[in-house]
Amino acid sequence: MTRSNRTVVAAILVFVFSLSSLVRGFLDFVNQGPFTQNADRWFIIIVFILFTILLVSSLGIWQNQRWGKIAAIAILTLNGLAVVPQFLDGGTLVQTLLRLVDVVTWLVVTVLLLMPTRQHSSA
Amino acid sequence: MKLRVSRTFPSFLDPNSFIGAGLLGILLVSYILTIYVSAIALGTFPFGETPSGSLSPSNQPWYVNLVAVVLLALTIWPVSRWLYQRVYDLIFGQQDNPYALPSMISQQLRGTQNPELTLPDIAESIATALHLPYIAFELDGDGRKVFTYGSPQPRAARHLFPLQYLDQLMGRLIASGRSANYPLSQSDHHILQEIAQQIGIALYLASMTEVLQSSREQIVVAREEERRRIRNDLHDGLAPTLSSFQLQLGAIRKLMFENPEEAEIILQELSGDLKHATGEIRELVYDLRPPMLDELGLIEAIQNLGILDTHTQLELDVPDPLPPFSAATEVALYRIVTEAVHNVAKHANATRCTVRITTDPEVLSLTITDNGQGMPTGHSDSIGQQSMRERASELGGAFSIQPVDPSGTCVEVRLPWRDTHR
Repeated sequence: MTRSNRTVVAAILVFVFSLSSLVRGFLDFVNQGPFTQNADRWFIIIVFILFTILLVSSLGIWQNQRWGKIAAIAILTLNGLAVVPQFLDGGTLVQTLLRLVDVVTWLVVTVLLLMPTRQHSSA
Repeated sequence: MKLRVSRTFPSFLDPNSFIGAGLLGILLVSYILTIYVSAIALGTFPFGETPSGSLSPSNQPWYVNLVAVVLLALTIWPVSRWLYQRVYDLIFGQQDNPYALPSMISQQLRGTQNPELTLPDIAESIATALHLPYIAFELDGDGRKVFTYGSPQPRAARHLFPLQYLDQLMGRLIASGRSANYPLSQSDHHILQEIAQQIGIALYLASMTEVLQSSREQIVVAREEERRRIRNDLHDGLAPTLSSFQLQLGAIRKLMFENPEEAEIILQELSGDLKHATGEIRELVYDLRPPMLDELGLIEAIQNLGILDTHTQLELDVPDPLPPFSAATEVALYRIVTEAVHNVAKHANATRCTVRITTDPEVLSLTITDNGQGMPTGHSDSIGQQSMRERASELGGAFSIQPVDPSGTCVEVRLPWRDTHR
């Protein structure tokens, strides 16, 4: 199996991002933080499922699998869609930084996975 | 080996098309939203206003909407085009295993002695694996052959990939884009180039095998013709002569005591016939291989040609010592030099004729140059020149004849050669 540096970086980014988001969400859920208090229960479950799929998709990206790349781009884009409008809500510096991390991760991973890979002719 | 089959593109029933359209849709919506939110953020903060928290355009200052619209108008086309290409390349391309298809084609080519027969299957494999609507192979050579699979999409670009090995073009692979708006991606190009190279090499090897087989047949035919010629020479020339000797000897035996004078006359005739027969045998032997080559060696044999008259000087420029050549090469060199020097003596009216032999690790070069009157205008190959050309060609070499400046002619022969004594 051949995997480019871009794929490796994208896989690591997705893995770290999804794991940290799950941990963050779990801590928020345990401590009844702002996200858990304000969101619907089904919405929380769907978000957890999506981030779990994102975690699994990092493995797919690592193995250079098409499904992993598509799932990661789709979930990160949905997350970006939800996060981008929140920039207008203001909030604390930490919240803004976390949103910024979400958006940057989405953009970087999308570009890394969609950019064409250079292939050298073997002949 | 079979790959996933999805023959039509684009198809609304194809799940890949759904996934591609969905992914492209959310990416574009996200992009538009991001640009709009960025415009609000950048447009309101610098003027000391805080964002309203509402995304409604009516809640934003007019210049924010203007900036957002201008930014989107400027960027939406290139961004959407880039995303379109990349998303469909991700969905339909071979990013997950770019070497699977070339590897499969390689296996298909290895399983046959005639790659042409596998081209329809290869076209199908490529079209299926890359989701391309049309693949064709056009082969040059004896008659133009075309193998196609599928049909090209209307207005879709066609891409040509040469099937070649070194500088030998064997044909081309033609691939049609998936649609008018979706030409082949970079990864498609890489894969198709790789496949075209593989097929080019296979076709070249097959054609070379054919040439080799034909060459072997020609050698066998030439050997048989040579045997037939020698048999005919012996049968028609030498055999009757020897029979006549037998008869003459019988007559001499009868006349030896009864009429010795008559016997003496027949003996004299017999002596002349024997000389003639010896000459015939010499000619036969000389045709097989000039005896001078064995007696004197190539250089001295050339020096002792004795074709040129006294006012033409023969100069030899050859490596010292001369590397050993195969018997076939030696004979060819000798025959070509003999013919060329003969032409100089007959037509050139030259004062100098130079025979030069040079060798490099792979090529043996022979030139015969004179300072005579040169070739007449409108010159065409004589029988002697055709013979030299054929001798060079038999050994896989090249023959050329050209005028030299200021006057004269140069015959050049280049033969493949390998110095085995290095």
